[in-house]
Amino acid sequence: MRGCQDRSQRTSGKIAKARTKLTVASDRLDCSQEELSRMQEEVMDLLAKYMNLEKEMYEIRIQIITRAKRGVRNVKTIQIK
Amino acid sequence: MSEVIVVTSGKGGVGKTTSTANIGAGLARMNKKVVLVDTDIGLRNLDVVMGLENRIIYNLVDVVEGNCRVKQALIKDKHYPGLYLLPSAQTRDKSAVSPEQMIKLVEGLTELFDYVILDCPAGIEQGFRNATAAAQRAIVVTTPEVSAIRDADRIIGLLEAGGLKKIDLVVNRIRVDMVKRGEMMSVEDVLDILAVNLLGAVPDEESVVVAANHGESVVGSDTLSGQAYLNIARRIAGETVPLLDLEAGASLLHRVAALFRRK
Repeated sequence: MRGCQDRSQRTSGKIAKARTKLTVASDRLDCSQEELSRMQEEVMDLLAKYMNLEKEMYEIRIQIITRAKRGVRNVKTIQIK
Repeated sequence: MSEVIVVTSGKGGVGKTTSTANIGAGLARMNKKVVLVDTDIGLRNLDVVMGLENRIIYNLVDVVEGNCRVKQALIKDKHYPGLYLLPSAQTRDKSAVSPEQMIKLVEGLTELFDYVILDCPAGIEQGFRNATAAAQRAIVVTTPEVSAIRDADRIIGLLEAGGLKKIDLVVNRIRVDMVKRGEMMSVEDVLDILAVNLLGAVPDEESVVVAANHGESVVGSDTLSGQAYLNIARRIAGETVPLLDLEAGASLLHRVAALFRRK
């Protein structure tokens, strides 16, 4: 997950990458970055209930792919509550 | 069999037009017949980047509206016999052309050329829809910046949604010294975020600016960026070319400086 490293230890390149990842992910899902972070944390907690994983070692990436026929109208059919 | 490629980015100023001109020159250097189409109606740029701004008589809108034949609007490049430009109109706007008209125009060009390369305007509005409507494959240009990558991701999403299957990435303006210091995202970082095939990485060099000042391409010059663009052109043509070692170009001075900075 994010924020596991001390901010002062991170180079601006790493900060840029983390910011890009979060921005891109929230764009793709059409939800705010806070919502996305909360969702990632909840998914991580849920997985940790069933799997033996160290939270700091992993990252949750959420990608929703529609099964419907491709087309501009189908890009954002899934709404974040 | 000719190929129609759109060069796009979403964000402006990342080097779409420069990349279009250099990729075109690279392919022409390989003796391919290439036409570069400036689809940015109202903000024409490709002509000046190629140094052909004084030779324009007819433009893309003239062809679409039937004021001239397509061959009359084509401008021959100064250096490469197989390279042509179809300039955009400066005094019109994006609504002057529809996607259907663009498809028809491009169809005509495919009969004359091996490669039809469309220089797409920034943004995701009609200009983008016009340029992408006729394309079979896309080259997405980005720089290692948060804003450019974000827009590139959006563009890739739109292209995929539009049914385009072949989408490649060019990472432009890499500064090896800054990547080494950790002050810039590396090509690998960009690829980690944008899951598309890498067509090539182009270093940020003064030579690109100098060449553009003269209205010339860097392809063919003894520079890393020139080599990078030539490699991109070869990959487009289907050759397997190993990725360029961008560090080889960092001057001794840079390397020594980087050595000190690392402490």
